[in-house]
Amino acid sequence: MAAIVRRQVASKTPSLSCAVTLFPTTGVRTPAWRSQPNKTSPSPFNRRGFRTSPASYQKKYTKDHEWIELSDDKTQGTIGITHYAASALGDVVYVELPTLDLQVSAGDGIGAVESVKSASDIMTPVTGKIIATNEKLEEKPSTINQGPEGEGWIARIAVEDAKEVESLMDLDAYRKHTEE
Amino acid sequence: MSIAGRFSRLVTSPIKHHVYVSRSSDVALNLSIEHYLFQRSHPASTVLFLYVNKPCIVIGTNQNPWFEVNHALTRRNAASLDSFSQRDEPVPKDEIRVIRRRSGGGTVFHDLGNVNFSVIFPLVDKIVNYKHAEMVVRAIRKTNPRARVNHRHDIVLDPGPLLDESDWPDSHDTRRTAYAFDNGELEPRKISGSAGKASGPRGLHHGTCLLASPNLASISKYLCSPAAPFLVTKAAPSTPSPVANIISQDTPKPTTSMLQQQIIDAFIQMYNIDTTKLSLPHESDTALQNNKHCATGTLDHTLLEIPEIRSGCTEIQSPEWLYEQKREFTLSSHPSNAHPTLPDWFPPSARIHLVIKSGLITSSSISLSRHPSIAASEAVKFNAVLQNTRIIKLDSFRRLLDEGVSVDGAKQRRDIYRVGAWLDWMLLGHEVDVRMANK
Repeated sequence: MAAIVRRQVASKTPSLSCAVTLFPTTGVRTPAWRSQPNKTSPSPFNRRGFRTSPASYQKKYTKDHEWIELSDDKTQGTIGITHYAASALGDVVYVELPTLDLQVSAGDGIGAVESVKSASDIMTPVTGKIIATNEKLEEKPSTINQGPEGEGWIARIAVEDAKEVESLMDLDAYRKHTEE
Repeated sequence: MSIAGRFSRLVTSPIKHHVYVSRSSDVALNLSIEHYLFQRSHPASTVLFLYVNKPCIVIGTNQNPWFEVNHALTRRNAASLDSFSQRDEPVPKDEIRVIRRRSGGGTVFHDLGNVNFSVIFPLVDKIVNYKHAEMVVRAIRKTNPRARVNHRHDIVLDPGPLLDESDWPDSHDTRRTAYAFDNGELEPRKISGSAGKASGPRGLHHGTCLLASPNLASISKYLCSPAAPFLVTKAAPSTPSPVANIISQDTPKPTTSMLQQQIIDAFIQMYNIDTTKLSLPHESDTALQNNKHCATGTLDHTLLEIPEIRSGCTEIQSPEWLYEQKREFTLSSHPSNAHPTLPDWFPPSARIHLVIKSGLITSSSISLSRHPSIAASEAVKFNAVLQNTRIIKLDSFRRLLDEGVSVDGAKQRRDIYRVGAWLDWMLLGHEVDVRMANK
């Protein structure tokens, strides 16, 4: 029962964080939909659709329930665990983050989360160097449950070969994997 | 081929089920064999591994040893603990070992009256589901029908009277018993705590089973750290629970090897394993054997020939592994949100605040004086001595401060000695000699 509730809460978070990041990326002080209320300008809804579709194109998933999202220039990837994994794991009480500058190969452990007395390793889906970690998770591990694919990201990696990311599952394939 | 060679070949083979019992009671060796099984066994296989350890305290991988363990007691009181199998022989005077395991969860106490079980299995969706706690309950119920799995996946005994027959649950129900869970005075008592680990395709669920520990009365003493109220740490917590032995006065008295046998039987039944032509570990003491479906045997220290087991054993016993985990924590004589009681000899105007990360004092603020300007200059003096000190390399804070901090008169010398004595007690588990502290 608790797991179902968590899943519902978690699934709301990415659309929220997406709405928040929308305004800075417009580059104008007044949101576009207010200053140009005519039909030709994109509505916030369309604009959001426009922003997320290339991002989701670059967001990939692994069968171990990690996700990685490439930056626009494809040099960096943000890594985390999926909604599916976060709700299955239950309340996260501890997050072990990787060391900065750690050189890792695809499949290496880069940290762990502990929930329900169990420590689960987090693997990197791609080869590269760890360039940032989400230190908020040390203070507040439950951030992972609240937004595993948003503010609960785990690490950023300088990607050696962007093709490695492209070979992973897209959202549709990952959904199928979780339904198997 | 040597036993070690045969073992590593069997473990990595695609044989579906494995049952091993350790003859060693060395916690570091047993945890390292377990880790080897976890990392090396075939991804589709399910492994049962059973072991019993000499008295030790085992903390979870994400826990803070200073917060969990009473170090002064583990150093001193090893000698006063009963040793289950050797009650008439002199108990070795060594310390009770404190070990950090590789799985999550809280701190537990092991001794020779405690059977540890460990099941390694193919993981579905990252989740360690703890279903083997039910298997262990089925084994324990051969001895004590009050056992059941609780909501934390631990195994408890219902202490109350037998219920009316109309209220008896199905005998296969491992979550309920025919006994009242509360008799008004006693809560259900924990006999088994569990923890798990997940990595890639493999999951591990292990746990304790207090069969007949002679040390129940002292366990909580060892797990109560005098430093805990002064520490602020984001480490994974323990959940203290009242504990009991499986054996009570009105139940028959099996030995640890009988309980192991009952767990093996429950495992074989659960997976419907064909054991044709195999003699299981409790039937004969032979080393390894197998048929097409199952491998089995008794294991011991000869497995140290396997390089991964040897290096795992060295790592898990090292003070670095136990004390130098990365997560930062603080030790304060006057923590901001609480007012724990300081010893009466603690200098009333002294203030201590240490920031510790990876076992290293990364910064400190120690002062003796009530006057802010003097206190600030004292803090600089102390910090110059303490900063970047590796705690595991230190014999005594008293000596370090005595040699490193310049002193202004006898009172200050005494205060510095007491500050050092308090730090020795909190972080090094040195018991404080109050007569010396009062000098």
